[in-house]
Amino acid sequence: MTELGPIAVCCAGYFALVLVVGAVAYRRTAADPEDYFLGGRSAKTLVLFMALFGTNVTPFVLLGIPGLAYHEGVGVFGYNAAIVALGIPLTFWLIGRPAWHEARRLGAITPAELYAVRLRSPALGILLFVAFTAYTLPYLVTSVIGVGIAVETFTGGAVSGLLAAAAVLVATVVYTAAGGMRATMWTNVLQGAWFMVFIVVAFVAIADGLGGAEAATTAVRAAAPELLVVTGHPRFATAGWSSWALAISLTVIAFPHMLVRVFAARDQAALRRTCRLYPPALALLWLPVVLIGVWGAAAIPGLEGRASDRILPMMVARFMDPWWQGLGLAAILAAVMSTLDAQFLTLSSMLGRDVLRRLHPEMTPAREVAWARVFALLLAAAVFVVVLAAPASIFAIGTFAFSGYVMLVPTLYLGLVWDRFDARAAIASIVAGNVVLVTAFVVGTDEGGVQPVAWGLGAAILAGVVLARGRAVEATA
Amino acid sequence: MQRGAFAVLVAALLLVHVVPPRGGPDPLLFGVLPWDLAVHVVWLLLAALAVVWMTTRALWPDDPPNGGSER
Repeated sequence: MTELGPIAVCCAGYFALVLVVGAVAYRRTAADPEDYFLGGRSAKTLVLFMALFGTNVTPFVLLGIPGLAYHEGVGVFGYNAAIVALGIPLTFWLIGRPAWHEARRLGAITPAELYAVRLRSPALGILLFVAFTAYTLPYLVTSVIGVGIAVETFTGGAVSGLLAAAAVLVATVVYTAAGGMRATMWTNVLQGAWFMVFIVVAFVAIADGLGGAEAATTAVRAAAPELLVVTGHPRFATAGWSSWALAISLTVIAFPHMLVRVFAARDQAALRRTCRLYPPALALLWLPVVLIGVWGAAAIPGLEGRASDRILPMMVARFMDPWWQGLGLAAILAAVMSTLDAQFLTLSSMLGRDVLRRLHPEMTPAREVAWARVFALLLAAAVFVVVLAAPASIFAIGTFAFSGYVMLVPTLYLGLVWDRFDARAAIASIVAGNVVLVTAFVVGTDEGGVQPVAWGLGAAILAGVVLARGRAVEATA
Repeated sequence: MQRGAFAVLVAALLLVHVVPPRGGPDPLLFGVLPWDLAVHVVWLLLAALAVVWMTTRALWPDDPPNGGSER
């Protein structure tokens, strides 16, 4: 058996497993929207947590973060992981909790539908659908780019990244279209467990290969001591650090594919327990990937720019045997697919419910589900076409998409807790935030300065609050 | 009362996140962790405890917030 043999066997085994899980979910899923898109709103703690966490972890974490740590050092941990350990549970509490109650009360299945019904504005539903789609498509692309990077690195270029991306898109869309939310949640349990276990094993194996964790870190101190401190990196200057904390903390609840999973929780107890599991799981995953990236700077020096996105696969290839490399590639595929499936399902559900159903209100539930399956296939094809254009680095694309989602947060929060915040205020908030965000990206900012996301969020809050208060004054007069 | 105290804790954590005590590449704690990494690992542990408090029924009851406002 060649070195590619174990990699092929592990990946084939992984694909077979998720397809079997998808087939079982298909047999248990009814052709009505609530069951297909939300799994009957019955997710208990373990499945809910793995579905949320698996969806949350993408190549941005497994490839982009070690790649960034390779250049920027240990500050990447505080810059990202530490703050989201508080930020994500906080937003689940502030937005996820009331959204879950309202989605149940109103029978809403998608986030756009929830706010369109609650604020009595189909136009707001369409605007939210457009915004969610505009920022989810680039995010989808980062996942698929990650597949190409990982496969080409693990196989030494023997398997084309585009071929691998196509295989992943096909497998994901098959089980997602077939089994809906139930299939994506069940596969996410398998996928999440796979990549978590692999990262911990890889961390131990790589440390061992470098002569122990102490020797690995000491080597970095000798070769690149600036990677062991935060000060001196322009990216980590206070304004940039705070802006990114804002973006990375607020963005997750605004991912439509995350909010929909919150709707799928069986009860509030499941949501509470999920929040408790988030911080330790983040530490378990992020500490190893950041340290592997930093150690890589001393072990495999000289990677320039986005080439550092390959550092995790390169370290695995150097320090682990072919069978573990195969399991490692499958772990990266698992991280990719656990996000892709949620994004496909959510976007196709929004296309079905928030667009098609409005145009054809007489459409039967079974036909709505059938159209959602078609949309998932079309989305996969569209993503593949964008990937062919080979856009920017994973971290750069992620930054843009994450900032865009944050522009929706004022509407997602105030639309649930402030009765004066009506559809007009919501639309003004979303439009103002996006206009300022895009302008700030076009104009450009210093790496360590206030980032576009902060300007855009400020504009979104200001526009929404001014209009809502203006309505209150009109009502009083 | 508990919500107020929790808000103060979150504000304090955010302040420490934005302006944490910074160090140099020496010493390595446990031979592995540089100071700037160790600070954020400890910060994350404190955040985890804050989340445990947030998810008690006192702060996060089963009932809808504000009794479930209908527009």
